[in-house]
Amino acid sequence: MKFTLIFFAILLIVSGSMYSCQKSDERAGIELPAHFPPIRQPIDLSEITSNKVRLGKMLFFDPILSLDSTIACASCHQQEAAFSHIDHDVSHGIFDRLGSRNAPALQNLLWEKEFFWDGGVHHMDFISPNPIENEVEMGETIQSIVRKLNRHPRYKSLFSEAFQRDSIDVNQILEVFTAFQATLISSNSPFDDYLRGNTSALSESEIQGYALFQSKCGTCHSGVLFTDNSYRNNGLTLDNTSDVGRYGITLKPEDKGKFKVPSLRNVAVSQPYMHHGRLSSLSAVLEHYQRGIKPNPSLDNLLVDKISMTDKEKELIISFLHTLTDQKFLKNPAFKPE
Amino acid sequence: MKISKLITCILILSSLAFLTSCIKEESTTNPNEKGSVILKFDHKAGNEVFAFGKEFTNAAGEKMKFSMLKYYISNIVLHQENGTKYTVPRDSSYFLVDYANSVTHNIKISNIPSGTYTKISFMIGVDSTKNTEDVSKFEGALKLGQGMNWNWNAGFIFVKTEGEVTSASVTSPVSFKYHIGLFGKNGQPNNTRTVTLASQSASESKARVSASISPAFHIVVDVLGKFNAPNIIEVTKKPVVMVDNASNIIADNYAQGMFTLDHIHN
Repeated sequence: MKFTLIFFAILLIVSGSMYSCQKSDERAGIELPAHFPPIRQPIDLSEITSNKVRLGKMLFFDPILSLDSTIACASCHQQEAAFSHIDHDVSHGIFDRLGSRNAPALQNLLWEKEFFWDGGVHHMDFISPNPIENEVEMGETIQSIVRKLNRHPRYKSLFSEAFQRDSIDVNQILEVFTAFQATLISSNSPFDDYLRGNTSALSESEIQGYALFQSKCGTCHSGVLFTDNSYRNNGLTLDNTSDVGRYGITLKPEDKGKFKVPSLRNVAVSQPYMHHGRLSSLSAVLEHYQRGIKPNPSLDNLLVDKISMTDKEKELIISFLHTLTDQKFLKNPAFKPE
Repeated sequence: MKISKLITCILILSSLAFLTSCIKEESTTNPNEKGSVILKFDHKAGNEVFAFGKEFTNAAGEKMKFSMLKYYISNIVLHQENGTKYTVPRDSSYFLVDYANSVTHNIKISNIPSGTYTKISFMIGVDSTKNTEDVSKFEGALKLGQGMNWNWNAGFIFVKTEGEVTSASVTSPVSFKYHIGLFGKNGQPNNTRTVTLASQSASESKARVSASISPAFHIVVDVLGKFNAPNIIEVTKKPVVMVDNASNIIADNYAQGMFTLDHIHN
């Protein structure tokens, strides 16, 4: 009898310590494309478990995050548009309040240095509080989301499974958003196939378009991610007063009207374009660089003389840009709500 | 019987292995005696006792009433008479003082080697390293959702004051918001400031830390100092200062005009 008791006591200790040591669940196993550069975000991918990714995805599609339960992240970040907002120059949040900048695509975020058009956020963890707490987007507070989710039996049990803690806190919420967004990797466009060695993935004219793109656009839209991660003024306005852009972050006068050079992956499906979303097609964008650039005090040096292109060249460039459309990403069932 | 004994042994051994793998290594017991100190923050406006809703006159001659006062104290270092220093470990060196919550006016620091301490230094604000860490490192006083961080220009607010102000020419109250932060990213101003304070009182200028005595550092916080010295701020002229180049001179004010070590209590 005594022996059995001791035996069970030991068994309890062992299983208890095993339990506390055990990783809460399996890793999400995020695969980094071999032809991409090293990731720029200081994130330990081994910490990302499939439970956290799943929770991040659930929240991404759940309007519980907004004040009146009408707006989810996915309202303005739609998968078929590379998680940008189809046909919206700016987006509408709670009570149909309008934002002031075009909803950016969400893809390959691990490779970004900073987030949002002005680069005001340096770490992926701190993306999600922006739309949640912005009064024209979701109009909520992080504290209130913590309370809502702690009252929600399903979230409560899934979070406790993912984190092995009794209650949900703000850090866990931010972490699951990072987990889900880290999985949004687009690396399977025809252009990627071409880079991987399949020379027939691009047509003759698309290859010509690529060469032209590199000479006309490639300084800023450089590398396999098509951005040099800089902030530039591309002459959309004469005086930069409508939106000061990067200046709002750095407080340097020369940064007025500068915005992040965006990646061009999936660019053909993520219209409209520019920080204000006022250019509705790729041909309007090229037209802008060819003829529409407005001189202003912080206009980028590379654009002072505009970009000379023939109509035929523009056509070829646009045909190349279409090869950056990654159907596998845009249709990936892993990114759809359960 | 023999087999079950063997199983028991295996279980004991494996449980020990699991336990030791889980438990953080105990720091080797230091033979030196350890004690603690308390930092007490007493809030004043000039020579008057500070309170929300009470009217105070700043150096520009404006009448200010406060409704919000919060600030971060971090990176605390205690200096001994003989020159040796004790740096509070990074993971336990961030504190948010919220005037509305009197519990936060006293900061207890434990595990300090016994000795005679004469100075204290600390940072007003949150250092850039902490500001750029991931969210899992934001615990306790740093937890988001306390109104002390910016989302859109990610970073902590260091000293936050709000209220109403009037002047001889602006007679109807204007609400003011002075949220001062910025840690120097992207060439922004760096508004973290480190102050080193010695006791103003000749007779009460030493903290004798031991296992049995927990001295208290009485720090007087002159809330108006943020607006008064060395730079006189006309709040009615600029009622809102947040992410702004003008924040830099306000940071100089909170570094030089806000904190004094009145005395040390043993």
